[in-house]
Amino acid sequence: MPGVDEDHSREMGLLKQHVGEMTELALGMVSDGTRALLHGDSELAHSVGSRDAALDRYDLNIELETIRLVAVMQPEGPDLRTTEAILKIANCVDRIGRLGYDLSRYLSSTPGTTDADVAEMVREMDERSRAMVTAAMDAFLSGDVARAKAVFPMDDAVDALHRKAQARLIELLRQGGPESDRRAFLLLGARHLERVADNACKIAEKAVYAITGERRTEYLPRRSPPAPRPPA
Amino acid sequence: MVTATEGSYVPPPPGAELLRATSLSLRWRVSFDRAIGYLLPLLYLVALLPIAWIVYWVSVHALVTLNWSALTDTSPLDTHSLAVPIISTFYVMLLATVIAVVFGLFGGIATAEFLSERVAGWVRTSANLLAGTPSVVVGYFGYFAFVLYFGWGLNVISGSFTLAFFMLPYLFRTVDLAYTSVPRSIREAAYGQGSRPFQYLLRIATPIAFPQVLNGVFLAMAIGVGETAPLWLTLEQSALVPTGLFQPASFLTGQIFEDYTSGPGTPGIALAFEAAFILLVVVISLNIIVRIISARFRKRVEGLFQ
Amino acid sequence: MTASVASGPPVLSVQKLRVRAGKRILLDDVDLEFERTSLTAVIGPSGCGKTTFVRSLNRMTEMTPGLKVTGRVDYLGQNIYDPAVDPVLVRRRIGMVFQRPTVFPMSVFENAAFGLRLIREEENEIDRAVTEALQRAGLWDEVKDDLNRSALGLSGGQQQRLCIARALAVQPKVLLMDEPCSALDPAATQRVEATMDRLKQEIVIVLVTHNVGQAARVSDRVAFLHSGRLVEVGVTADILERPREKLTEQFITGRFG
Repeated sequence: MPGVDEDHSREMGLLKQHVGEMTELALGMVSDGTRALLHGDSELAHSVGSRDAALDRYDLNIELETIRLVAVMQPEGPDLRTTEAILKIANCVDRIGRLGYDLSRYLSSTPGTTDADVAEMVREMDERSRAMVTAAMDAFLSGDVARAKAVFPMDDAVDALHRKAQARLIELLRQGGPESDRRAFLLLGARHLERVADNACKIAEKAVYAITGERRTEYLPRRSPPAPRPPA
Repeated sequence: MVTATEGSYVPPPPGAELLRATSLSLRWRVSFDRAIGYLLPLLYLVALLPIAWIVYWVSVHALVTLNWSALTDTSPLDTHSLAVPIISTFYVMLLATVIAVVFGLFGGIATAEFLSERVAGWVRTSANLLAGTPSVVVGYFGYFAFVLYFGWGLNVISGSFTLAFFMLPYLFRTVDLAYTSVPRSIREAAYGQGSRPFQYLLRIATPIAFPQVLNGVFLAMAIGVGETAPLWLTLEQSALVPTGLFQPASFLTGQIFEDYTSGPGTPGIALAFEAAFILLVVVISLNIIVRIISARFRKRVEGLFQ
Repeated sequence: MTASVASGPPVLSVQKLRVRAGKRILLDDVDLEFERTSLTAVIGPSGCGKTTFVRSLNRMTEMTPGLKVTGRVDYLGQNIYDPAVDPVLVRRRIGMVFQRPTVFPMSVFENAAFGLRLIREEENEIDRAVTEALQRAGLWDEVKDDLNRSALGLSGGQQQRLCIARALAVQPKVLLMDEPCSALDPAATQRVEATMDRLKQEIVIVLVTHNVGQAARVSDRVAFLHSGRLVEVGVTADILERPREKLTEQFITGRFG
């Protein structure tokens, strides 16, 4: 019946829109969290923290709405895949937001300045990983497989940056000094941003699945090898 | 709540639309409706009038002279007794019914189950034509076919066959209808289970169709017992009960036909009335039996016709 | 289709099946093979030919005048449309359950025994077979106390299971079911589905259904018919998650039909 179908198409569209909005929120938390980390901005950190509740609300509402659609619509085929993808993607976006939250908290009470080269690398990691998430999300919402698949190679750049940042920070930590606390947390922070990129890949993978039904993992990025430990 | 001040208008609640009409034209229409409602049962009584009158009139005249000896005395010289015509009618009816049932049953089942739609259509049309044929024409045919052409003469066998021909289309139609009205789902289920046609007919269709067929038999009998012409033209009257197929016999309707011109008070007219009375009793009884069977049939296959 | 693991010809093999009513083509060159024990759901929009298809698998098409059938339907290697084949024997081996329960106006026992009596089984054998059939159909517990009561007194779901028992009593290798649950309430439907789920491990079941959810629940395989053509057939999970054909996708997502 046309009426019923229209509703479900509309509801599905609404659901996807909510996932998009949640992504915007989460990405804002990552970007602000990175800035808070680099500048020790406690006010900014506080603002990120306050967005955590909203993120939770989005997550819960999307889950409830999806469950309801499954019960009412009994989706099959592409609708079924999209529904599964939405749940998984919401999960990933939730994690992305949390990573942003964690980033904001690390140095909120540790003032000081970050080494310029490290800051540059961290900033670039932040920009790239967020671009990956945006691309994956756009691909999912618009049904663009090519765009989704283009996200995976972008992970290599982020991985490379991460390795460089790790190596540099370890080198700096060996030197010791008052900035060691900061540098330790920056090491964790870089790791978080690499995780954001990983989640972006997961979102892209789910987007491909929702559009085409493919679940192959050949094009997933291989886990980057650990940074080589310098001889003791 | 609205408090009504003097002279202000309070609209009736919306549910008031259910109340009976009060406007003049509406009231006129309602009265007209009611008048018709009383009129129709009256018309029903009017339709009942002829049959009531006949029954009354016949009964009144017949019961005056009717007594046990009138029904049972079989001596050939007796002019008061209807025993001979009664028994003869019984024999002739029995034979005619058997013949009609045999032809009607086979014809009906064949048409319902085995013939193609085109041929079945022709057969049904023929049966309807036969049903519409005047009884005197059937009798005339019987005279030429059985009495003359076959050379059987004016006797029981000619009469029974002719009467059977007259009864046949009713039986045929009933059997045809009974078997075609077995629900298609049941029929398919039986064949789907691997029935052969004969097994289907025996185990499934006939038990379901049987009450209707029985109905048809009684109905045909009620029609047959009341006919005059088919027998009048093929059966020679006799004062004796027939003892063989090729013997003459008398019959009740013939009795009426013979004696109805007798003057009042003669034994003939008495016999005519008595015969009429007996025929009415028989026909009414048969019809009552038909109704009882129909009712039991409906109860038995409740839930079968969905 | 994957080859059957057991040796010998497939239980049912449909080859280039075409059914016509006058000029209209009801089924257009359908090819399909059936594994030894499985449940294949046949789905499609109204008028797509699924009922015609299933009825042509045991020559019930012959009960409708004017249908012309060409092609082969092989039962264990023998074409059932071969002139030398007795259609009555076909229907004893390939049973059928219809949309509305079609119990005969007899006792429960006599209904179940109907097919056995047709083939003139012995009395004690009939008893045993009826009991087994009623058990396989999932009806035994509900009727065992009074097998002689009229079948017309059973509920719709029970009547339908009795029809299944009746079909099973003669040990068919194939059971054709034409929307058997469409006249039943959800609870009765669930019981019939449970029965189908058990039976599919013993015989071949071909299930016509307009309920995609039902196909998802009980079938191993789904065949999608549209305008008399077999558009797509595949493992149930695959068809429902990832239909290859656009028409199939449109149907299962309810965009039409």
